[in-house]
Amino acid sequence: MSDLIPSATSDEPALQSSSSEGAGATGGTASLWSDARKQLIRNPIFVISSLYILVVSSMALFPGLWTDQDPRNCIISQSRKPPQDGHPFGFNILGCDYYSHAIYGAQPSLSIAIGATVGIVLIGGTLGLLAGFYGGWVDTIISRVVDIFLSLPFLLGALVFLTVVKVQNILTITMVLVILGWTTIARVMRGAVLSAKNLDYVLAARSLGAGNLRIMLRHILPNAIAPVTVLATIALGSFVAAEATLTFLGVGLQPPEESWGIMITDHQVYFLEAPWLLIFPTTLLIGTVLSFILMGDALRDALDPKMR
Amino acid sequence: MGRYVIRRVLQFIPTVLGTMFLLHYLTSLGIQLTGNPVRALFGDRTPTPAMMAALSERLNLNDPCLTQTGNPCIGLFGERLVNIAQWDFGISLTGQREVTDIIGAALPYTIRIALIGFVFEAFVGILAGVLAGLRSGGFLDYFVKISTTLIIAVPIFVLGIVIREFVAVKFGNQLRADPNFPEIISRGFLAAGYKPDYPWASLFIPGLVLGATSLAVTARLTRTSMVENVRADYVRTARAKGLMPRRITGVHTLRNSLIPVVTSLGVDLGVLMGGAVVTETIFNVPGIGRVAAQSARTGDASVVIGIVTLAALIFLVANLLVDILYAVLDPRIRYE
Amino acid sequence: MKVRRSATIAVATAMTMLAVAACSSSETPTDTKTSGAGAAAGQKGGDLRIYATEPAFLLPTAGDDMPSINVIRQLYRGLVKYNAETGEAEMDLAESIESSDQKNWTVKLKTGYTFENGEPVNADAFIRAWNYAAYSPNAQNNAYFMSRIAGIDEMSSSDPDGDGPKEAPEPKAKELSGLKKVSDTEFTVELKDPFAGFPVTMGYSGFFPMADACLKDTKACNETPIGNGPYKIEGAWEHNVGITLVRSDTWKGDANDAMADKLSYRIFADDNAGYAAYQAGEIDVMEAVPSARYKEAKAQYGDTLFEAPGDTFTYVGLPLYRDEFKDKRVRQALALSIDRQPIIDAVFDGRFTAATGFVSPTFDGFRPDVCQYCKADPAKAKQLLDEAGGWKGDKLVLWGNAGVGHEKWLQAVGDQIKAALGIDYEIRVNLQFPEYLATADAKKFTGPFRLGWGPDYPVIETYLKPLYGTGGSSNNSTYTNPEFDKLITEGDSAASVEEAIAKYQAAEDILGEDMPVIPMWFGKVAALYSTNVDKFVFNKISDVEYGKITLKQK
Repeated sequence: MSDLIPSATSDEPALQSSSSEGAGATGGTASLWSDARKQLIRNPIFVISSLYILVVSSMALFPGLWTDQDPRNCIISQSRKPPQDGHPFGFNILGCDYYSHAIYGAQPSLSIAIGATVGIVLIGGTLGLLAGFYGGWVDTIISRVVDIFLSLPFLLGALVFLTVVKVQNILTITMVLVILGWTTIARVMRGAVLSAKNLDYVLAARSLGAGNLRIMLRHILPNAIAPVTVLATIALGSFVAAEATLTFLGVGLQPPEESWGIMITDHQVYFLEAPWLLIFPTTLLIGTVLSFILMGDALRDALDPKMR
Repeated sequence: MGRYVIRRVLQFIPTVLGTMFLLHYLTSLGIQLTGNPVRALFGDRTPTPAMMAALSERLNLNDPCLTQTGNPCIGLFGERLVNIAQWDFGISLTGQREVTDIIGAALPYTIRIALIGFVFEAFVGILAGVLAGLRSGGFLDYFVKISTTLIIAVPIFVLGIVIREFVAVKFGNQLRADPNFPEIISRGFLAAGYKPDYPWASLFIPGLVLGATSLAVTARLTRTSMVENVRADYVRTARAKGLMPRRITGVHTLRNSLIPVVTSLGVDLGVLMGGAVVTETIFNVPGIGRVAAQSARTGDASVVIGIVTLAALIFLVANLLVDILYAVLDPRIRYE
Repeated sequence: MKVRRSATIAVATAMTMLAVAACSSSETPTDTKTSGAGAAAGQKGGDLRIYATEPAFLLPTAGDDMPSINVIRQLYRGLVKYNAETGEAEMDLAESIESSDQKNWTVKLKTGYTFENGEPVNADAFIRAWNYAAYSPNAQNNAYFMSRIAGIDEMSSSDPDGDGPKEAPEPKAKELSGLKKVSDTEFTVELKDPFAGFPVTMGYSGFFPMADACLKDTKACNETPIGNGPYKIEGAWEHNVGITLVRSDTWKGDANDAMADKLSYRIFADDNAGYAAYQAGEIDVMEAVPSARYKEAKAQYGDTLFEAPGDTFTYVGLPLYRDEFKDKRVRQALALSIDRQPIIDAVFDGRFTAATGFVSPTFDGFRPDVCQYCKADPAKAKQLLDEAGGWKGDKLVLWGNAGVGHEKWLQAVGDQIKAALGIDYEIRVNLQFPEYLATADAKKFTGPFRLGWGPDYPVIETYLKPLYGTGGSSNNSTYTNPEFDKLITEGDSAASVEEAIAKYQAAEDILGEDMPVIPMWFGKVAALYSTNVDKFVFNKISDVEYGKITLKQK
């Protein structure tokens, strides 16, 4: 069922070229970013997406700001009652306030997405950097491992992993997403490093006696930041959607935990009877995924000088 | 060229072995952690030890290493490899069928739905991408961008179920109520799921749903590639030489822009074949994705290993072919 | 009689696989191709399209799940059948099954019946099938049902060192010593212990006969069965896609057992996909409406929805091996704090009947309100708990297996107990089914646990001895009461089924006081059929009688 980060892989050639371009404009990294910032602020899509993400993040971080109801306080006789005064989203099957559920549901969904993204950037980034920088057998081994994980179909792989670990909580789901998702970042990082490795200024730094670590961190890494940032932003969106799909397949988070994925999966059968139970969480989720992807797009356009 | 291919094929072997070992280790670990899956076959009724022993032996689940958590069961893996080399993937937990039979029966459906999805994705995706790329920044560009992003953003199971209920059932029932309407459309193309009477037509809608997500990817990739090539020096040269704009677009820009798209499509075909877990479940397509999902849930290790290994193999072969194609198209790659 | 274990799992799984409901228009799916005006009632012919899930086996000795049995019952026939209206056992292939001591039974067969390949259905056909099932190395799921026949212990062997390296030795015998052939049309069965219900159990598909050619190649026979029933297979079993049966020319029994020309089972993996196919007019009979679509189905297809009480039992077991559950007043208090109906309505759309006893309402010998603690009375609950000296444990841990939605109703149960008794609770639903069952087998639950039970045969004893008898095969509470055991034994050896039932009922009364488990609810049958169906036939013992259903003829 397609890649984990579809839009990310697709745009890879563009990213690679952008990174080499960035490498060409050595020393201009700072101005590249400040230019990008100026362009982004003028981009209405980026601004709206960022605002949406800000709102959703505040739900995740400070649910108390949005609701003073306890989502676990349920009265079974209120089961599936429609939206009403004081309960704008109505009630779920067990008669819990659905609005507060939706607010509290943001946290697990976003925790998984952010955790998994940090994970793939750290693991994929490090391995890609090592493979590209050292080449030789290091590259061979890392590239084969990348191939192995890349060859696992995403959903089937996740099914196998999650049925094995059997405990399906935020941590394990995040880990599985990292395990199946790091390869994309590793490949992009490796490509960016390869193209930067033999550039004149890197050779110059080496001839001046700079150590491997210093060359990697100070001279090569900055070249890869732009494409990795773009990929990571898009990955954030994909992971939010992935959490919901895994729940649908029965290997996602388990109640009494509340996440948007659980809310969507649990209530879609009641679509006819109680459509609000499906519409509210789905809208929140689609908005979040959309915002992340559009932010990633805008970032790429801003960071790629060729696009100007 | 020949050496490049040989090198790639050699790289292929450790990857396949690695994938298989990973799956073997995972499923063994699953049994070590959650207990003998044979027990679940009996549900609420406690089986006698004799029954458990007989079934476990038949299913090759009686190896003592399966009770030692963390043990990678290398011996069992070796046994499995030897068997697989003789085309024996073992038997399934429920129904005790040969895994090769199960896959053989399921594969044709997956191939069909993948092909339909692929044609849809390639055709519509490239068309949308080219249109958007030619007028970058225009209305069409934004339209394609927003609509494809929206498709990616909607979870596939919501998309599939909504289409099944509204298009196949509701809209289809309207057409089916009219006896003069051609049945191939009302009962075939608009069937609520796979139907043996219409082996291709009833896979049409599931195929479109399957292709939809990749369609977005293809469209975006084509667009990006077009935009880049439109500004490339050779296009500028062509324009300066006074070539017809239509010819510039059709021959020069498009052909060069499609190189990355074609390669991505090749990989995609492998991905589609790897089993459409969600789509096949929603539309009741008896393909390998549906079987694999069921087996993963019941802890049916041999079926899972068989199917995922196959999916990985298909993916790797597709990748290999694409890389070779790329090497043919772009000579720089060969000397990497 | 039927075994529902896989069906229970399937229904539960369905709860996690949900789907969007359709629009509100209320047309019933019609297939203009096969329905027509001026139809004459009760005529033969037509193609009945049936919703099915993938059977595990089509071999009578192996198939013990509902999907398998649904097909096997049309392909094979046994000694006894159940009356479609009353559910009572009637002789089918047997002329008579008699005994003077309820231990030694003589079976006489009707003549003239044959298998599809021409082999006669004689005494050997039954004896060979039962021996095959009982021999443990054959690993046939229905070996379990042979366990009452004398000689079963010599037919099975267990591994001396569990999962260790040693192989299990060959069993001592290859044939059940309790089965003796008298003539081609007569054989005798000796049981280990007397059992008055023996003839009634013979209608279960695990006791159906098998042809010699079938046992010579069971693998082939599983794919293209050699049956002796009113239908035969067309082609072979198309796994995960469908099974097609056509009327058999060799069937000598009741001609009304094969009304439709053809039974087309279409196999689905997800019941919501099946329901969509029904709505689109592709299915004529859907035996179980997905629970979440029940309300909608009732509104839209009320005229063609068949409802009846069912026999699957859901209970919350109490771990009597733990100190805090040893006092029966504590168990009574827990039972009294639960109000079942609101949970059934909210979580299951009314798809269950609240339990007021320990046996199914569809069974002979059922009485309402056997369990006086099965209705909510928080005040009395509190009082009983106080008399018992209050709650002595920590947090109450409610157990359920993972991934099938049990947490929803367990949470409601926990809330009710907390409200009535002030005992705080937590829910543990992280174990997958194999590990959950292993935990049950090992008696390691730390609190009340969810489990289910489906009857093995249509005698109420099937709800009693295995679950609460000392050392019973599924006695997960470790309940033991000599008085209860004595009444069950007396019932088993009673001279008639009626006398037996009286003893079993007395045993059930003991449970109503001791409360080893908290009965929750019994399933309800909700079957949908299309407007193509002229007459829908449901058998309360053996479920939908696909062969007896008639279609409207053009």
